[in-house]
Amino acid sequence: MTDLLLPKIAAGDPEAVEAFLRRHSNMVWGLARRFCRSAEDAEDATQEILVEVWKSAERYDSRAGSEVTFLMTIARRRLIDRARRQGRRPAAELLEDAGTIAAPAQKDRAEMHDEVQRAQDALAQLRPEQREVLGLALGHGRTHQEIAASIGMPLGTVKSHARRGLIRLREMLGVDAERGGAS
Amino acid sequence: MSDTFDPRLEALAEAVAFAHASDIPGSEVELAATPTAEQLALERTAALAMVALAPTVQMPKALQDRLAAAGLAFCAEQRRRRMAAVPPAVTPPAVTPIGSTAAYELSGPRSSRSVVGTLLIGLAAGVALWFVLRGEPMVPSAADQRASLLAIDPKAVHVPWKPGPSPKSGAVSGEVVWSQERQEGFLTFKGLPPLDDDHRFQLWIVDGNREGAPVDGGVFGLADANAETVVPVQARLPIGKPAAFVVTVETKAGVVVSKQEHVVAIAGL
Repeated sequence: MTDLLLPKIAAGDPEAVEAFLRRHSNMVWGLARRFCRSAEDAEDATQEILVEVWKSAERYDSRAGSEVTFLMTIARRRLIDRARRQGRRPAAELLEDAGTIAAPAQKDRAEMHDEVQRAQDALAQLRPEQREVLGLALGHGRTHQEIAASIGMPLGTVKSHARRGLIRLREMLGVDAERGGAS
Repeated sequence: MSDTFDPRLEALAEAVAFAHASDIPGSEVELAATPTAEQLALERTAALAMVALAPTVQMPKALQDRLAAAGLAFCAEQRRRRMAAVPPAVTPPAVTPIGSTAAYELSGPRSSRSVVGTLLIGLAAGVALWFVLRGEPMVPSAADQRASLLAIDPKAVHVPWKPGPSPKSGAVSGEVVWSQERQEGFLTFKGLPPLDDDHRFQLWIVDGNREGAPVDGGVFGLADANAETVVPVQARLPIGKPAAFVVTVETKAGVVVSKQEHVVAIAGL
């Protein structure tokens, strides 16, 4: 487990903020690019997410999960709120290609919690259709209708794979209903 | 693996998986504003999956700078809040106006720096005498005043500027020089964004010993944003413990309290 940065950030430690940015900001940027329609919107979303995480740092409880899970729970909510607020759907394909580094930075991944590795392993154990649907929904911000159209699957089947896949993922990861993580 | 069919749980899982699409046709389930433990667990699962699926993409340099500046501003504000919660241990020193006799008195043992200071003061006096002899009014430039301040207060702090989070931020460089003892300072800039006639820059000083909004440090414009320019700080109140200097873009007359919508430069201590 890596050093905890959020308690130091809550105390206003600039070095901890810098380390946090080094460790996680490219991942947040990568997701924001997928969920936002324009680069400008993605930049604003990235800043909004990171500032909210810093402001919420005092509430972080390491017993509820890793820092990256705390970050990503907030990131997901903010990206969803922005999509709703702006009344438009994310358009992943608009930003997907330019500037993307093909291989994930292993160093960054290694600095993350074992929890992330377990999530990757659990995703790999899902049925291929469940993995594909969840990947498009959670990783790319696609709607059920977009997924149905893009992979040629009935809408009801898409929804079924998403809900069964998420429930199974939760079971494999052992995410406890009593531990909420970021709230 | 669960084989039981729980319609309530499945509906919740669908709502979480497609929360970003809840306002379009085909989304029957709305997530509760106050999430249940079950919903939180599914949201946490979705967040973990997002981590596993997240691409690592190198962000643009300008965004890196924005985030670094936002982080600096956040830390300055956190420290200010924490310091504000503790009564100040030291009374802020009395303000001595520049130009008074005391302003040029050097105290303590003479160091090489104080010798340089004496030479600079002598040079400034020579320039003043030259203006007097020519019969022209002597108005020392901000750069001269800055040099004098550095000469008489070797403990003045130097803090570099970083671009602020505003998209208007340019590639600003330069520094703040602040003398806590003399309550005096100068800003050196190069690369602030050009402004139209209706807007000006305004300096704000985050004071760790003061609750509420940052202290107004003066409104200013720059004739040439690309040239290095020195601007005197005009703090409206004594500064107990400076934590950060922040430059915003405001309307021409300046504002009493900034909404900080356009922070273009930050220098944090």
